[in-house]
Amino acid sequence: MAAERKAQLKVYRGDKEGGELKDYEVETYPGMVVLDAIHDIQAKQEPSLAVRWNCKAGRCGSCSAEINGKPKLMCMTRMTSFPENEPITVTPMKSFPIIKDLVTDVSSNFRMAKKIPAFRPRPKEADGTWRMQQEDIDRIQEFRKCIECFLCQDTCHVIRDHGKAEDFAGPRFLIALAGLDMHPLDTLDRRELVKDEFKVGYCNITRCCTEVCPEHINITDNGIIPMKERVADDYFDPLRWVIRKFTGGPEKKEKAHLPVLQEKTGSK
Amino acid sequence: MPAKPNGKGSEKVRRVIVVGGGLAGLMTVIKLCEAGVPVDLFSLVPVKRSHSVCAQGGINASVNTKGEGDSPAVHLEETVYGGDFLANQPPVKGMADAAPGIVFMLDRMGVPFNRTAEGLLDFRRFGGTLFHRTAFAGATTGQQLLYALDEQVRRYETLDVEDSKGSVIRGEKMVRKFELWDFLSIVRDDDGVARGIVAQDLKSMEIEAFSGEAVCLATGGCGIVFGRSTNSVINTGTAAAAVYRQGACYANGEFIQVHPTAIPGADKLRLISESARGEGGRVWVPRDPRDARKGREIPEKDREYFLEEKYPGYGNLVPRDIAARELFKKCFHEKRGVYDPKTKKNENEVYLDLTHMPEEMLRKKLAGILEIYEKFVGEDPYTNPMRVFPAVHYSMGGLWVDFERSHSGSLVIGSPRNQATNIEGLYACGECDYQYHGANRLGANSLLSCIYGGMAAGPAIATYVKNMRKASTGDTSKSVFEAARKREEDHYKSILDMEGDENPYVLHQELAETMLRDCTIERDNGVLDKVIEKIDDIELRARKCGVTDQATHANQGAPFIRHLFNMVVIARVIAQGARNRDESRGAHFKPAFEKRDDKNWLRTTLAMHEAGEGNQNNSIKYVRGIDYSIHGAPMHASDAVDVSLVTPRVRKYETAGAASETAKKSDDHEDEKSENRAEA
Ligand SMILES: Cc1cc2nc3c(=O)[nH]c(=O)nc-3n(C[C@H](O)[C@H](O)[C@H](O)COP(=O)(O)OP(=O)(O)OC[C@H]3O[C@@H](n4cnc5c(N)ncnc54)[C@H](O)[C@@H]3O)c2cc1C
Ligand code: SF4
Ligand code: SF4
Ligand code: FES
Repeated sequence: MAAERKAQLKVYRGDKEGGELKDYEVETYPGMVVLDAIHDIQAKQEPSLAVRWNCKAGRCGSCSAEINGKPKLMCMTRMTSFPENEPITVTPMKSFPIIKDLVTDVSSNFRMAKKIPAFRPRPKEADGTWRMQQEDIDRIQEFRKCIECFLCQDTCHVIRDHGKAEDFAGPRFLIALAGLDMHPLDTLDRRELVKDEFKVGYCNITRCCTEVCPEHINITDNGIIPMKERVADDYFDPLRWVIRKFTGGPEKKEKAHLPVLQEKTGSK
Repeated sequence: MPAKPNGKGSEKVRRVIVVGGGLAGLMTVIKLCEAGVPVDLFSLVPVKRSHSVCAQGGINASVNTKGEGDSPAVHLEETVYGGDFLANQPPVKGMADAAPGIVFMLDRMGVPFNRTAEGLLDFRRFGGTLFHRTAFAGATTGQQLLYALDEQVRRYETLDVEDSKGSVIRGEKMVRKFELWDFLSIVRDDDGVARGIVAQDLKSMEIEAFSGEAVCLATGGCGIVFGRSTNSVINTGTAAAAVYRQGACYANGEFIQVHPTAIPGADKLRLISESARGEGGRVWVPRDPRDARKGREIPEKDREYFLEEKYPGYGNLVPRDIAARELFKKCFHEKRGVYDPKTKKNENEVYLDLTHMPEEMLRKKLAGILEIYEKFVGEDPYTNPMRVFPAVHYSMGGLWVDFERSHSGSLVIGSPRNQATNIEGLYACGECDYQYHGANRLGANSLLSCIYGGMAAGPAIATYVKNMRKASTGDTSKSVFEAARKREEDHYKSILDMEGDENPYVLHQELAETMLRDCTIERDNGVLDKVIEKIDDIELRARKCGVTDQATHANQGAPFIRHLFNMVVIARVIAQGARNRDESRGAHFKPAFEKRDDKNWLRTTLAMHEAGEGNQNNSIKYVRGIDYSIHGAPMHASDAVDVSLVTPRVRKYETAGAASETAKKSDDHEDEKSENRAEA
């Protein structure tokens, strides 16, 4: 064991009524991550400190927060990644309503998720299989690595500064939509929704989302930009527009509706 | 309606309650909805954050794409052989037969499984088999499966409930989700039948009772009893412990799987998936215990590939119990762990080496797994052998559940006995049941057993509900629910009022350290007696905790104390079960009783809770059989293991093919199809 060192932390304490940064000191050890420091505070100094976490392996997406102002997973951020004698500031994600201390209410994202029409595959091939090329799989696997930490949603200025959490799908759900659009077996056409309901047009390609993604998903270049292009091709390319209007789309996919809309039309 | 005082529901709909939104829970929900049964789904965390999301390696199914001669019969045999013959075989057969259908179903749900050059499903190798049987989706298989099932469940969340005439019941959806709720106990009526649950909203801290026609627990494992493990922090086993305290039987608790390869860490042990060995990873230590060179500088001739040398038949892919034991032996008994010139000590670490494999292939198939190593150890695993050590990983034991055997030796799907606990109306599936893995689970069989468990539980519960004479919603007196709610609320208040000076986190640490040190890979009766004394001590001290967190919302301290009480209960089941079982079988190993003893111990450990009165501690009553009833019909099950399909024999992983001998021989009359092949 290396010599014990102490680290200073400033942690946000408060709820929707307001709050402040409080100072704490913890002993560090090799391999320690910020979440360990928070736990140490919780166990020894401040049992009422609220924080959410589960897997401690960067898999469940529960422990998102802002560390020195940067959206990060607490369980994957080593204490040694910060200068030794400066305090580390830990605050809740800014774009979502605070519940308590480091815990925020990210349910706007779950509401958004519900709006996305589910995968609908084409029928099996004659021999009973669905063939796919690994190349196609690689492309959608990238988006499906998303652990829903919502750090990208937190950092995106459309949500953060313009408060569009209920309106704009945001980077996380644009890649979900892109993943469906690029799935070789899927038969639904969600592009109109991407344009009108999920508002892909709000994104002005600042790439901040890609920068913070702990799964290193190339959100903007591999997901959002191709999605924008596909929508543009369909709706703003006059020839495609005509084809679409008369055949229902260049790939003869069936047009998707929001699940909530479907439900309003009553019995199935 | 849920017997909620503020009545969020309606009186019109009779629902089943599923607790747990991991793979097992979600699959149960889907099967219930397919049968037209509406569900209330409860989960401690948003369902997509369940522990299932952590599984990286893959899911088993004998699809035999590579033409190796694999089949469900081989899968069955290797599973029960790997489990050292402690599993009842019919459920395992049901699972192995259904596996290919399950993987095809998941494929159809959009799970991006890796493909072969021909565009077909690709399979990799895992432990305990010589066949390529494990389907995988990059390094995030569990997550991909969980998200795919979640998408299906979300569809049912927007679908209206219809009455028997097919008209829509306004405002009622097939699935209602209650996330961030902590399950506290089931509601039992005067006849002892499960009629619903009591749960606490972890945001508002309100405690409420809900009625349910039946309750299914799919609440996962209990690795956190051991503190440092590969598990997620919510895996405390608290829900299973709660129903065990209410009279449910807990089976084979002493069988805890230790995974051979994890990254040693201060409080979390991050797993290096078995797929690393499946893709060719080799385990070794330096021949010279004082070899101070870096792993990559040690030449081939100075390395001891001890698994390959001792088990030429299965090599690095011997089952986990054996691999973990050998690693432990190297480090603890032979003191041959990797030598650290800085500390001048042989650390408790061995090498897991992938450096002989082409980097491009590794990046393609294992990148996500190796990334974690790079991040936390700060070494590049593509050029440096990784340093690993065993870690607590999985619980083979769990809530006892029944099954109904079909003529072909499989399960009668739709029988209300499948996945039924001994409390009428209470079902269980997933890692929290004990059913599919015997004394040792094979890698990549868990995701499968979770999904198959859900596929068995859903139809079983649907049948149970259809034949109920008295409903929980409507027919059961409100006072039953109110009494249950009040009991839990009083308990919670009593925790908030605790003014002792014990710190619950410290108590957990003490418990965990003891369990980890003395109740995992090697067990000794003298030591176990001390473990049980320690559990006694902690149980007493836990009553003297102090709660400084009085918050009325998002309080985390008080629920933790509740979970601690339950962890102590589970710890006792594990330790006492280990103390009693004087033999070695699968993951349970006692050097003083080195052999498997089928004559005395080819039987299921059945533990029943006995609550301590007043200041006395809890204790356990062991039974040799279980009597319960379904709709008044008496059911009986004994602790004898159903070994009717594969005759028990001694495991010999030294010899290639030893685990699949019988199935190979009977290859000829292979055609008879099981009537229970799962429908995709
Ligand atoms: C790191 C790691 C890697 C693994 N890799 C593989 C693999 O490659 N292949 C394989 O087959 N297996 C693997 N496993 C094992 C496998 O992941 C688990 O056994 C399986 O996911 C368990 O699923 P489950 O549905 O039973 O429970 P979980 O996924 O653990 O879900 C439990 C659910 O119950 C809920 N819950 C728990 N307690 C309460 C409560 N008190 N109140 C309300 N809700 C509650 C939780 O919120 C959660 O939704 C791995 C395990 C680990 C630790
Ligand atoms: S690239 Fe688009 S989605 Fe991403 S942060 Fe910028 S505006 Fe938001
Ligand atoms: S895309 Fe990346 S940053 Fe955004 S939610 Fe998913 S994992 Fe998190
Ligand atoms: S705790 Fe799961 S991502 Fe950090």
